[in-house]
Amino acid sequence: MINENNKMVDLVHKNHVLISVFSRFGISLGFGDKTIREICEEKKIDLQFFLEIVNSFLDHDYFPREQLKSFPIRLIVDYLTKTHHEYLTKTIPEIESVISGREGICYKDKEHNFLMNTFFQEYKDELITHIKREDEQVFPYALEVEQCYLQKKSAESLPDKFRDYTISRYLQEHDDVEEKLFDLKNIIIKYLPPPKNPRLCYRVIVLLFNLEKDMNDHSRIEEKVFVPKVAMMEKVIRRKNSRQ
Amino acid sequence: MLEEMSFTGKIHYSEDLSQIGKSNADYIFVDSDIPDMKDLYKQVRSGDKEEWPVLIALTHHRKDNNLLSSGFFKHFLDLSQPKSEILHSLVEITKNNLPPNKATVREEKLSEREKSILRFVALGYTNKEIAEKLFISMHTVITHRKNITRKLGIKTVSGLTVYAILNQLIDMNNVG
Repeated sequence: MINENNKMVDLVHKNHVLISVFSRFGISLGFGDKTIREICEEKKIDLQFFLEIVNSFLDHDYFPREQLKSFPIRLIVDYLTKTHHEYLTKTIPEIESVISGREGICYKDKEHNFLMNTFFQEYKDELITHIKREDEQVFPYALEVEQCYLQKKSAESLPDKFRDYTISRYLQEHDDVEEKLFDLKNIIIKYLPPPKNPRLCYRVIVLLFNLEKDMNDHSRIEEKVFVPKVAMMEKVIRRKNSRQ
Repeated sequence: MLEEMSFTGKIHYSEDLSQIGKSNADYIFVDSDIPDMKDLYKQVRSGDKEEWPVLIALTHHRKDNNLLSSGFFKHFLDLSQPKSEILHSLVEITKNNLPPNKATVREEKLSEREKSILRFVALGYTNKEIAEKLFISMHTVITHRKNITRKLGIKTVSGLTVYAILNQLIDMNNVG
């Protein structure tokens, strides 16, 4: 388990993929031999929250934890939003650049390149819709609920557009965007023919595996931390309704 | 599949039934007339052996309803039938009950029925429409789709469509 006195560099050596988690907190490379505590102080990052995110990323058994639920929704939403931003502006374009053929063609047959690209575009559209819904509706709702809760108000004080929304609806609609990603991987690995450019295809696979892993962690935070916390606050403020 | 099966042993119900508990047989055929199934069942299902081996009753009557309702047997084989029928039933039983280690090797190939269902799914038909077209129940369609997903490792309709195109089950122009 990582603690505040560990050096940031040791974290990277444990799992280099964490570098992308750092960027969501505004931590860039070049941090020398500083400890986690030093860097969090410097960058004004909530130390405990950072440790929770990093530990749950490294060890799936560490998760979910009561501690994560004790953080304000603002912190959780902020982290999730930054992750979305990264998906939209970095991760997806990177995969797209390779799959669309901009860096060379994967398969000899035009039709096969087309199939792979089309399938990816469908996935991308679904993912963008999913992210937009969260960023524009679900997260603002959660922040409003928290405001209500902290000010000990009832659900009546929620803005009109949020009055009838519940977080359980979000869970129901939390469609499995990951299924398409899973299928795309298998299609490239198993069912598309041997690629003309194997190195390129391999890069696609690696990017897809990384994205899948990251999205799984992301979903787990949403479902196991974010939702229960909002649901708990929701219950309290709606109870105030019926009392009146 | 039948060619790969081999006979592992025979035992009389009056003998030491604990031998069955130790056997590594996948299927056990039992004469439905034996007096006490409970002991035998206990031996077969000892430890963590919940699903395997499969217990099949041997009978000489057409569909003896009591046989399956007792819960001991998963299937029965009617020995009063002509040999070809018995063989056919045996093939069906073993096809639908493949032991886990053998199942993973055997099952990547889609059956003809599964291929035609896959074709319809890729062309955009709903489960209901497929059931109507093939004169089968929706439950059957769904079971087929689950098997297809399991065999191919593909979950979404789009994924299945790509697979269908790549394996020439449908033409790309039909999809749009």
